[in-house]
Amino acid sequence: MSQDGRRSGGRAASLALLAPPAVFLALFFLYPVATIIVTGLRPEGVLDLTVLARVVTDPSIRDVAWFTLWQAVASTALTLVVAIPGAYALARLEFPGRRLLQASVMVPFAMPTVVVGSAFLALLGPNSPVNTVLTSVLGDAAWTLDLRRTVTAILIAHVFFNYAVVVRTVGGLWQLIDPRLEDAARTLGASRLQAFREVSLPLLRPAIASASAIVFLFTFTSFGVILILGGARRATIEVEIHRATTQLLDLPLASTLAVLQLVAVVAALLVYGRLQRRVPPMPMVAEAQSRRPVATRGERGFLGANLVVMAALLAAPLAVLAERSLRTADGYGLTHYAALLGAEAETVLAVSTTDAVRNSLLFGAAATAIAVVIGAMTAFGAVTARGRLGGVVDRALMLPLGTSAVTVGFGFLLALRSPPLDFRGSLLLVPIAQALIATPFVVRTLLPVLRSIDTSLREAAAVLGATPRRIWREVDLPIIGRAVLAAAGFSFAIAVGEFGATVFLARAQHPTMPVAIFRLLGRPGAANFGQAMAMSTMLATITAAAILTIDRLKVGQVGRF
Amino acid sequence: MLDIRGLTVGYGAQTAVRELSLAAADTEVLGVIGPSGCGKSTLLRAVAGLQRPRSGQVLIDDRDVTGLRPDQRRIGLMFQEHALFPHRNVADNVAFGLRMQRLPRTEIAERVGEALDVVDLAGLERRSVTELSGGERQRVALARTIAPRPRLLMLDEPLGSLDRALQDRLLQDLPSLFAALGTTVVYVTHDQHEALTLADRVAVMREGRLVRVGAPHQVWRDPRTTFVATFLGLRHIVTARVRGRVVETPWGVLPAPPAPDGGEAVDGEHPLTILPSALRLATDTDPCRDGEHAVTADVQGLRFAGDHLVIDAQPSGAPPLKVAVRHDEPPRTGDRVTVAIAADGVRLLTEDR
Repeated sequence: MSQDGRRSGGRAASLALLAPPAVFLALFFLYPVATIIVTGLRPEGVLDLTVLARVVTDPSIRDVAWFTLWQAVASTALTLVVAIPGAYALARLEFPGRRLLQASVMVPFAMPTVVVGSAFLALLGPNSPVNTVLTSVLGDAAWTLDLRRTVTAILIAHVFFNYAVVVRTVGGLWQLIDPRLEDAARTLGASRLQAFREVSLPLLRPAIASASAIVFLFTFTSFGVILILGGARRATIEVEIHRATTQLLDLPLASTLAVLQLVAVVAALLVYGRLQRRVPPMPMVAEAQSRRPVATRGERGFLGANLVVMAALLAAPLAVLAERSLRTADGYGLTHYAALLGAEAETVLAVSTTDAVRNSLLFGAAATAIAVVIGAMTAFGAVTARGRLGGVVDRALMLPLGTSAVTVGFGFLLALRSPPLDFRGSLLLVPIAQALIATPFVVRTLLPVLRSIDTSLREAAAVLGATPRRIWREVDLPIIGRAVLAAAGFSFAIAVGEFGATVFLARAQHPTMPVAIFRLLGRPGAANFGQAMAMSTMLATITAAAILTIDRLKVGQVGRF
Repeated sequence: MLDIRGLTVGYGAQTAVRELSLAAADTEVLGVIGPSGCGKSTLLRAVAGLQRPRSGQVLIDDRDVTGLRPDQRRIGLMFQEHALFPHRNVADNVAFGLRMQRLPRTEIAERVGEALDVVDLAGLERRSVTELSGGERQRVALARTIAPRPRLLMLDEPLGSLDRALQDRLLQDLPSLFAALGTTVVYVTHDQHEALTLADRVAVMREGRLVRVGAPHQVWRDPRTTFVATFLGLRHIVTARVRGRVVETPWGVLPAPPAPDGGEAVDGEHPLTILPSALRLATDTDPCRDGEHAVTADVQGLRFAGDHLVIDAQPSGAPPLKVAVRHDEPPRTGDRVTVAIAADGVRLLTEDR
């Protein structure tokens, strides 16, 4: 076969691979987004900027926009400050239990926002363990620490969520940088701090930049956490879109807000794309080579401090969640779990708990299947495509990730309920929306693995007598297979916990677990709260199981940006 | 100048360096050799302060620096594979140590220029280090290490990643560079040839301990242990039996050499080696002389070895002898030859493997 023939064959193949994801994206993302824009700017069929003018001049909305921006900036900065030392500890130090810890920090990232919200309600409320300790030590003199409905709680919850993004992205690069570079700096007279500032920091800059961009996007479009922890007064644009839709029934207002948020998100994504391209060439070492056992007292102290942070920040909320799910009026017991499974829960949830669990698992499985197929096609297409095509589709699929779940859900609500695409009543809407949100993670997991398969491996197999099909089966498949499994597990965790889009689309009689938790939290009384905690614990267990299973596949790229 | 006393270094259950004591004088070039994994690099890291020893001391100019951080020691360490900063250009790499000393900008520029002149890289200041060839990278690393004028210069396998021709050229350049710098040099390598060429004194390490220290020709002519003899690439290591004034070797009975410690060898079995220089082919025009022992052997093969050939001579009932011969009129495979073994090139060894 001639060079030209092979190239055009590759192009045809990559086009065939990229076409379905492109259609998927057009149908379920671009079309809904276009509908949002049209609804916002042309509500009656003609260009009407009055809503936009109203939104831009409304001081309360300006407050919301300002709060959205500054809490995102603050959350991002705080996450970097807390997580970069953790990234160092996990990337550079060797200690017993490191592998498990590295896998476990991923668990919060995949946790459903609703679960995180309720965990922090329990951790920071008046009945929190902190207050129990304060009371037992200080007696009546103790003050009650109640951080519910405060910005502090929101920021802490955001750090909880995004800790893993920084640890995986920055730590992932850190463990590949030759530690002798810092050693060299030390022997040339640099202190530890100078060596970090002069050598490691500049080399880590691309990873820090992309982690920051991602954390910024996630916190800028934060929804579930704010909805639960922010109370009535604190709202991000995302929450405002939800409120305008469900409470004010003002679709033009919701659309205009969504358009404004979209502009900000696209701008942030463009910056992210640019930062990704500016990675300097550098000598990499094998991961294991860069880790050294904890030797000095300083290192032990550093590691200890980071372990304390991880325990307090990442483990405590989940532990309190489990504890509160077991706490009843008279001691500990399984009352809340029993109530969830009993008949009376149905009145609150409109369906039985087992149905909610079943809905979650079924929707999650369907979403996973869609996301893995679309994501794998995109990744394979991007690898086989020459030139820019692959990159364009790859980046386009990052859009739903940054665009926010609420926009996706809201867009579906607007666009897919009237001809030509009438999905009204279709149960498919929920998994499609979840798949849209999970697909970028699939692509992000598969792409580096596909790119890393060394052509010399295939050549070696060929020289040893393997046919092309044998090569695919013996070389490519074992490597890709594990990555696909990991991607599937990750999408499942994301789909099961998805809240922002699902809350728009799940119909009253088909709630998923996050939606059921949100409904329970909205009801007064200790019993409902306890049941919300119990269901959150169940959901957290499912998520954690999925994430820890993925880690056993040792793909290593999951959750890296 | 450098004085290492009873140094033990290791992580956890592993001990890389055990109770090692070693000193180097001013301007001395000390070669530390040993197989990979023997603890050479760990020794350098401990002297540089990058790794804390479990016990023992490091003294520099009679001052104990064991508790000092690496940045307080002013020791230059050139790393294996060079560890150049990929985000800085050539000049900025070389300037790094000078900037850490907070020297004025003009002086830094001047000394960067000097250092690059020394390694013959003037003109490449603005080049990115990722674009350099292996040899250029090696020289940038050297310039970066010497620019801050360290009191002690340590090099860890500096020629390891270079091709043979470049290695040979740099081997010729380095002695004059060391002389010009006038510092003490500790040179670590697994390549005995490199160390024997460059060093005033070599220290042979094995499993974290020193097994032999001496001038290159002393160590070469008198390896003393089977480990050192094997590591130096000596062949013809066999077991022989000393009986009074003679030693019975597979190649015949020879006068007994002194024991490795210089005393009289005791009767019994000892490892023994014949130095390569003690073997030659006896011919009709140049027959065996006094002090030489003749062995009849068949030529089984010839191997090209640069400026000479090595023949594989197989005596009957004894291990083969590798004998260097000149290119002119070499014997052919199958020829019967007489190998002359010079008795003063036979060494008894102690077993330590």
